[in-house]
Amino acid sequence: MDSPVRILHLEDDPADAELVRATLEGAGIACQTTRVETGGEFRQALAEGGYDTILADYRLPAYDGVSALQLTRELRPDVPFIFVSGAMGEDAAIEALTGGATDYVLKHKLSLVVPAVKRALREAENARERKRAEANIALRNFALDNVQESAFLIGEDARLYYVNEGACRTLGYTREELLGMRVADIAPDFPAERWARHWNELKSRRSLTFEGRHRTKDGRVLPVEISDNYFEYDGRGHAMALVRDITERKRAEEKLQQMELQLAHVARLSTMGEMVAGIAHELNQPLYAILNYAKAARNFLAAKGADELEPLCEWSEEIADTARWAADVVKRLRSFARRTDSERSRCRINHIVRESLGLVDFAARRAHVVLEAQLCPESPVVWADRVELQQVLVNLLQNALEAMQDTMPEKRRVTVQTAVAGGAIEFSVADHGVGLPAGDHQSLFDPFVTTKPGGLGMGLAISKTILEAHGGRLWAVPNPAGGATFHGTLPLVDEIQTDAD
Amino acid sequence: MPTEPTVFVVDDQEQARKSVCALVRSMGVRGEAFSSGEEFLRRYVRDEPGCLVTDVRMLGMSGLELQQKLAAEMVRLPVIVMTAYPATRVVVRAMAAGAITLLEKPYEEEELWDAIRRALAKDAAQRAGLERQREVQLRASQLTPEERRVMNMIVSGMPNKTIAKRLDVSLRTVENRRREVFAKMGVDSVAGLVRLVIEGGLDEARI
Repeated sequence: MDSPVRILHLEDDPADAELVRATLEGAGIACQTTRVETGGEFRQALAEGGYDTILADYRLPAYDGVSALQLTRELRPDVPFIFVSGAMGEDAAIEALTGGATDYVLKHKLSLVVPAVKRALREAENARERKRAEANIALRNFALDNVQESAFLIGEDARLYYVNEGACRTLGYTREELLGMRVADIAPDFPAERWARHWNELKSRRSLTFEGRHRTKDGRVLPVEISDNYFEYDGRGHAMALVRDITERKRAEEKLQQMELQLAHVARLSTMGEMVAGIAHELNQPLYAILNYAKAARNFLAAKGADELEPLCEWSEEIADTARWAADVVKRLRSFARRTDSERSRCRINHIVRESLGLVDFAARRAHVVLEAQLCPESPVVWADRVELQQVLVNLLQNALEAMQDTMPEKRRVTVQTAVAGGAIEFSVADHGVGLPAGDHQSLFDPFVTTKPGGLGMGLAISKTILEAHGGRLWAVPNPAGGATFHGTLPLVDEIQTDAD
Repeated sequence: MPTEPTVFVVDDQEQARKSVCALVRSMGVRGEAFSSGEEFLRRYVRDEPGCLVTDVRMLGMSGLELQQKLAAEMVRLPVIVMTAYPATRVVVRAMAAGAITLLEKPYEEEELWDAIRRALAKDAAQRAGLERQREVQLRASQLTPEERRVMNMIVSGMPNKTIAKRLDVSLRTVENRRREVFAKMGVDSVAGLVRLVIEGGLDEARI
C-alpha cells in the first residue's frame, strides 16, 4: 500500500498498542496509529474522522469495547472495527460480531491481526465500490426517468421489463401495469409475428429508426418516432426502444403540406388562366378581321345587285356570323379564365409580404434557406388584389429558393425589403443563387422563357402582368456579390384611387 | 386637299386595320390604314376632312395618347375609339377627351356605320362653322377701330347715349358709326349683330 493505513487504536496499554503497530509494520503494512483510552477521546477522534480502520480492546479501565463498537456503527458505519483483546470469551466474540464488528484477534495470537486488517481494508474498499456503483445506477435511472422520450427494455419474447417515467406519462399506465405487458399491448402495429420479424431484423442491423403508432391506456393513438437498439448482455439479447411523441410535428407537417398544395393549385389555375387569356387574345384578332372582311365582301356583292351573286352575298353573311360566334366563344372563355372581378381593396404591403413569407416558410426550411424580412416602418397602403400580389411575392420567393439549390448552406439567405420612394412602394427579393442569365434581363419576363429544367416560363410573365395591371413595374438586377434581386413597385393608395373610377 | 371625307384607321395589327378599311370602303366611304399613331401624325395634313378610328392598345403611342395629341394641337378631327377589352378607366378617358364613341371589338357593323356617320356629320358641321367664322371675321376686318369699339358696346347692350358718354363723343357720331357697323357686317338688327359676333368668335377675340 502506498499511503500508511490510518488506525484509531482504543487501548489503555501503550506497550500493547506499540506491539500491534510493530506487528503490522513487520508484515509490510505502514501504519499511522492514534491511540485513545477514554470514551471521550474515542468519540472525538471518530467525529474528526479520517481513519481507515479501528482497533479496540474489549475491556478498558475508562471505557469498554462494546460501547465503542456501537458508537462506531452509529457514526462511521463504513469503517471496519476489529477487537484486539487479551481475554475474550466465545460468547463475547459472537456478541461482538453480531453487533457489527468486522473481526476479533486475541493478543496472544497477535500475528493474526495482519490478515484481519488486510481483509477489513479490502472489504471496506469493496463496500465503497458497491456504493459508488449503486449511486451510479440510481443516477442513470433518474436520468432515464427525466428524459422526454419513453424508454423500454424489451426481451425477445416481446415482454417489457424496463420502462421509464416518460413511458408511463405518455401512455397513461403505471410502471407496474406496463411491466406486465408485451409490445403488442401498446404498439397495435406489432402483433407477435411482426415482432418476431422485427427482432430478427433488429438483431442483424443493431439499430433501426422508424415511425409508428402507440396506443394509450385511454385509447388514443399517437404518432411516434422509434429508435430501436439491439444489444447482448449476459448472453441474452435485449432491445432498447426510445420513443418520441411526434403528434405536434405531424400536425405541423400536414398543415404545411396542405398549404403547399393550395399554393400549387392557385399557381396552376392562374397559369392556365393566363395561357387561356393569351390564346384567346391571339384568336380574337384574326376572328375580328375575318368578320370585317366578310361584312365588306357582303356589302360589295349587295351593291352589285346581280342575282347570280345572291348566294355569295348570303355566304359572306354566314362567314361573318360564324366568325362572330367564334369570337363570342373566345371572349367568354377569356372572361372565365381570368377573374374579371379583380378584387381590389386597400392592403398593407407589409402584411402581404409577411403572409407570403409564411406560405413559403416550409419550403425554405426544407431547402435550409433563411428568410429575412426588412420591412419599412410606415406600413404603406396600396389599392390591390391581395391574392394576386401574394402570387407575385410567392413566385419571386420560390424562384429565389430554387436559384440557391447549389449555394453553400451558410449563404442560403433570401432578403425581402419594402420601402417608400416618391409616390410609390418599392419591394425587393434578393437571393445568393445562380444569378441572371447573361445579356438581356428583360426577356426573363416574356412568356415561356425559363432557365429552369421543367419550368413553364409563366411565373415572371404573370408577375409582371399583375404588377403592371396595378400600375407598377417589375425588373431584375444582378447582385454584386452573386445572385439576383427582383424589384417591384406599386403606386401608393392615394395616387391610384384618383385613377380608378 | 380632297374634299371627300376619309376614315383614317389606326391599328398596329395589319389584318385588323386592313379589314376595317375594307368594311369602310364597302360602305362607300374612303378608308386609309395606318400601323401606328406616329405614322398617322406624319401623314395627316391639317384640315383634311374625315374622322379617325383608332385602337387603344398599340405598340408605341396608344390610341388615347393619339387622341390627346390631336386635341393639344387643336386638330378637331372626330375620333372613334376601338378596343377588345374596354376597361372602365379607358372608356371614361376616351369619352372625357371627346370621342364620338367607344366600340368594343368585335362590334356590329351597324354600330360602326352609325359611329362613322355621326363622326363625319360632326366634322362637316365643324367645318361649316369654321367657314362661317372666317366669313364673319373677314367682314369685321373692314371696321375701323372706332367702329369696332362701338360694335362691342352695342353687343354688350349699351344704349347710344351711354356709348356717347363713355367714348366722350357726340350722339350723332355714335349714330353714324352704328350705321356703318350694321352696313359693313350686313345686318339690320342688334339681335342679328349679336348672333354674328358669336358665330365669328369675335366676342372671344375681344376678351
